[in-house]
Amino acid sequence: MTFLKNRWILFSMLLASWALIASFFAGYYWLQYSDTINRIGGVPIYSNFGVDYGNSTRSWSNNTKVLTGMTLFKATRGIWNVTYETASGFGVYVSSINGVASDSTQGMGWVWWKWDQFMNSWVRVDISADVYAVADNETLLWYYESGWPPPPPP
Amino acid sequence: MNSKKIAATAVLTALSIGTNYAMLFIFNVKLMDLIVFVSGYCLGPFAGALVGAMSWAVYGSLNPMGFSLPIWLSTMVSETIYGLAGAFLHTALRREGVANPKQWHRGIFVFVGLLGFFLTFIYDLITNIVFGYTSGWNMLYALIVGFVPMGFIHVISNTLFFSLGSAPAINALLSVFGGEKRDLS
Repeated sequence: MTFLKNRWILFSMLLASWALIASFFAGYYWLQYSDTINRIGGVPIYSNFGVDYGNSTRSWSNNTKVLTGMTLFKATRGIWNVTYETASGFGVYVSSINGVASDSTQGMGWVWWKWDQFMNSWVRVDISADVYAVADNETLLWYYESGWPPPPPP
Repeated sequence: MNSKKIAATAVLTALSIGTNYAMLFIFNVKLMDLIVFVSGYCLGPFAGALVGAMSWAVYGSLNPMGFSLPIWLSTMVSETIYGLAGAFLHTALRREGVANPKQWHRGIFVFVGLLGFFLTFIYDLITNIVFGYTSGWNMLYALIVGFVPMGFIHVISNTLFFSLGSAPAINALLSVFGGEKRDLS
């Protein structure tokens, strides 16, 4: 076993065995974590949600408890009265919040915005609210507005 | 195989099965793998593989943990790798003139331990894949749960057994069966 005279061979074998053990333990704890999340439905997080009716009226639901993985659509429905339509391939379209409905004749509709803490401005995320998973300590705003591209909220 | 080898194979198979039943209360810690490895080292690849397959043929069919044909067959086949590896190690060490464990240096002890680690890992991998198929579990789940913590205990105990137990076991075997020449070939 000439190759055993090279100590790096044994060292490599030790590292490989360590990597295998570490990988399987990581997998095991990942399974445990997934199982726990599945059973409790998610870890509680706190985010801020707002509705701007486009007439200088804005209402907030701050430090609202949601669970990790919960979508903006689901969180919004938990706070306000929401009606919606489902467009095939485009996800959910929110047609009204608290009775304020989209108006196709005037081009008015609901667009959601996210507050960017680094840019200090509102940014539009072009995915459906039923796909976007809310993160901890985020600020999200539904803005009733018209025009394309929709102008950011004031 | 000569009569001495056949006798040694039978005795080692019986020893392997006996230790398995004796150590039933220590979950997944077994001397069987070391005995099969040492059998391969002293008796050659065929006899070594035979000790492994026959040990599982008996222990698997009268298994207190229950019987499953696919798992039984997979363990019978997988166990042979210890015997084959033992024989190949013997061939490699003989070429270097250090086949006698009394001539082993520290690096060989570490290598044999790590060999035990990787052989046990392969053995667990094969049997867990078969378990995953037969149980209908998600394969990834079966592999991970099969390895942590059950397979881990198996792998670590075998690493220690192989590293610390191979040399005395080979010496004992050669003393008992090898005669004055300490040779079973």
